[in-house]
Amino acid sequence: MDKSPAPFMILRKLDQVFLRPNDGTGEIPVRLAWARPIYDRGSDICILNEKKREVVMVSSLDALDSDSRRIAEEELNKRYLIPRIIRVNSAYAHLGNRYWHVETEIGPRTFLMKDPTRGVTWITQDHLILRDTLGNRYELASLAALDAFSRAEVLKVI
Amino acid sequence: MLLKCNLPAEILQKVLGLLPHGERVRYSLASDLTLDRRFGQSYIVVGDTRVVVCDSTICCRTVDLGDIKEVQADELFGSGRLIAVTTEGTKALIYYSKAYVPEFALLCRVINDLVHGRVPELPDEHEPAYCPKCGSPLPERGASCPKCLPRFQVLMRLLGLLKPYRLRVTALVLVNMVIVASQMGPPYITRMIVDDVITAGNQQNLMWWTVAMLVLGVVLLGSRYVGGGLSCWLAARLVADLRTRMHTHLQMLRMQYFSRRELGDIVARVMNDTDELQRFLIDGLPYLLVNSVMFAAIAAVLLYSDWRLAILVFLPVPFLVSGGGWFWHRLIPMFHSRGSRMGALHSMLNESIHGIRVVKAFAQERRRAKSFGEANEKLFTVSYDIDRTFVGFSEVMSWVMTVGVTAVWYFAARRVGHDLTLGTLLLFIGYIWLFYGPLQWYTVMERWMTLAFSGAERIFGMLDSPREVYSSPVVIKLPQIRGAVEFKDVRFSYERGKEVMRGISFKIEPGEMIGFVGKSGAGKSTVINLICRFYDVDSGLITIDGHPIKNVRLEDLRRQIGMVLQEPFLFNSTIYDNIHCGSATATLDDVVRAAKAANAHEFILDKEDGYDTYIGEGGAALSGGEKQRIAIARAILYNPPILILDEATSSVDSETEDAIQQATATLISNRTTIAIAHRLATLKHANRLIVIDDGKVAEMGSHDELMAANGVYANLVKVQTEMNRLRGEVLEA
Repeated sequence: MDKSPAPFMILRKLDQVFLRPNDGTGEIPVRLAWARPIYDRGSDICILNEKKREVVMVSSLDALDSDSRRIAEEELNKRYLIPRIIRVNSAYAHLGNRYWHVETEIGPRTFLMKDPTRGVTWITQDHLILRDTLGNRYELASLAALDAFSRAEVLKVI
Repeated sequence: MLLKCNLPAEILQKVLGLLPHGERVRYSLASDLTLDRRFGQSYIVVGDTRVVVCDSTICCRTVDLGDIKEVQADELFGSGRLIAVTTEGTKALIYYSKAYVPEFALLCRVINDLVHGRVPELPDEHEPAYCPKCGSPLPERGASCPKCLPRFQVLMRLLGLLKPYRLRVTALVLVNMVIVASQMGPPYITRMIVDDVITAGNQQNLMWWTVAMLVLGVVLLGSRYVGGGLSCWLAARLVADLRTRMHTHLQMLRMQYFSRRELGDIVARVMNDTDELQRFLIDGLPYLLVNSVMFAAIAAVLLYSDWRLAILVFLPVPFLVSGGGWFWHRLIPMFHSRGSRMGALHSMLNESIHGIRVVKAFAQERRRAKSFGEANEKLFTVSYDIDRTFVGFSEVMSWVMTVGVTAVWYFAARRVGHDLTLGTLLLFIGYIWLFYGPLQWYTVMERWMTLAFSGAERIFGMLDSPREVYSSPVVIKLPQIRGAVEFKDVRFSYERGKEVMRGISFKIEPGEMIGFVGKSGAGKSTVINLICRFYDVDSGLITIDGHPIKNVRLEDLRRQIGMVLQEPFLFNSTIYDNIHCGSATATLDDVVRAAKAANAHEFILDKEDGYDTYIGEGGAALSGGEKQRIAIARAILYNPPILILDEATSSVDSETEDAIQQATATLISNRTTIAIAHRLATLKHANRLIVIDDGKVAEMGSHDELMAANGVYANLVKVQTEMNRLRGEVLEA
């Protein structure tokens, strides 16, 4: 993957993002995607055209100029909703279903997970991504950093 | 009501202020994300000419319907959003979590219908993600809420299934009463022997009490045997009836039911849920019945015999019940955890065995062994925790019971000879274990019952799922058809929000062979699914010989369509049965004629058991080409006016393909044939080709016409020719 400065700019017009090559050829509407949104968010960004074909892949947002980078960050934030859990109010199993009542950085949420084997992705022994039955994701950035009550609740159901 | 939500007063006021004067709210929908994408409410309202979006902070945005070219439901990671493509550019309207994807997809379609001057059609069914009663998330859309499990209704429905066997049920209840009486007898007889025979010296009664004791023992033995037999029979009968009903119902369910569920879940429902129910009915229910009656009877006898001692016996009851509850509260998550870890281990073992060639080829043995070791260690930890907790539980419960017994001995022994007989003391000691024993298990029983009932509820949920409408007063009998098929502006999505067919129209004349061409996922197989009416269209019309297929009897429709699929499904039976199932009235001659026409007769006879060869599960004993030719023979015997060939030769070698092509040529003559193939050469006999791209008809015409047009088809041909050339070069090298 090329690590030199990107030969293009990222622009935004209303709520649509465009890629404009530095060689002056026309700008094209694009969408941005992390290559590994679960295990390695923060690097390797794919820029896709409207037909979901890759236009270019950059190893890091650092490769972009500051304006492009800001727009790319905003766009990626909009595209990826993985709220970080800051407290677990309760987590319990009922008839094989795991009910979670949590506080996240974007507000309180209740969700249900059926099977932790499928619903929990262990990034590390401390860092987890949870997936509810509807496909929503939640991040437990650090089990150790949770308060003792929250941690005990989590360990009851995973 | 679909697309009509309750707007809070301040939102409604704001929205009405933003809509043109006098305009009504036609559709409204609430989201669970605010406009700045925090968890909270936001609302989208569609008026006659304008769309308004507001959230709880009364931050609003508006777009005029006249400015909208198209609205799209944009699927994001962990959420979604509606975007409006307007004359000015693309605008995000509203964000929502995955919980509301189907609702917003529907709204998207409705707005597009309004924008393009169509009348929006709303579906009758709605499958919510949250329980309408308690608001809890549901295990799957439209499922019943485990927290609001209507136990009484489930019990009544289960009992309803026992109606045909009411005599046996009555006998079971009576036998259980006899069991209770027989179990309660010995302590009472002990009391009589001590007080009447030993203390009062009535030795002549000893024989009677001894005989009574022996008789009770025999009665208990007999009644337990009979009761066990009855409950086993009833439980097995009920579950067998349920499984038959479920299997029959499964055959009739709509395809949507299967496409939204995993195969394992459906099988688990038929097998595991019924197993769970059977176990509870055999072991749990009789235990609950017998012990509940006995608990009440012993309490009454103890109170009648000596109320002060009885209170002493009752004292540990709250500890036993709550202690049992406390332990089980701790144990249940561990059981769940063990289940999950066991599942993970099973899956890993399954992968290691099924994928052994890949594991070896990529030298993954050590890595797999390490992963398995780690997973196994996790299972060990939780299994050890469960056993340790369980041992603690049993010991503590025993100790609490012993405390009760000790207290009775201590306080009662001092009264013996004064106001208490030795017989009564022994009666208390005899009953106390019968009384305490089941108490610790009541919590378990309650959970077990809940588990069994939730399984029963899932079973009833499946039985209540809507069937396909095979016939009804409004549908007509479809006469023998000629084979004309027409699609008129058909739109369809398997999952709301993901439209795979976006306004498709074409007409096929009777006897024509039509080839459908397009990239993977373009929607070719969907055409077939819709012609067979495995699914109903979202909008538009499909007709066969001018009859809208939604108005004809399903059996009549499908009886006139034959299919040969890419991976033909063969039943685990003989070759003869698999061909014969194409026509129930066919003779052996007919079957052989069909096999000959399908170029299958020779290879069938080459097998030791000929037409009686068992082909194993999924046709495991046959090669891909053999399976395909049997499927073709089946279709020939079926003799349908419309024939569908879905990638019928894609998975076989060239020689086999030639044999199948010859068989197919016989099959397609004089009938409408719809063929799908990735290898474009396979469609060389087609009268016309329809090119599907991105859910739309991109091109239509003969091979020559499409090549001359130099469009999508010509491009596909070029790519395939190039690939074939490269393959040839590689082979030559």
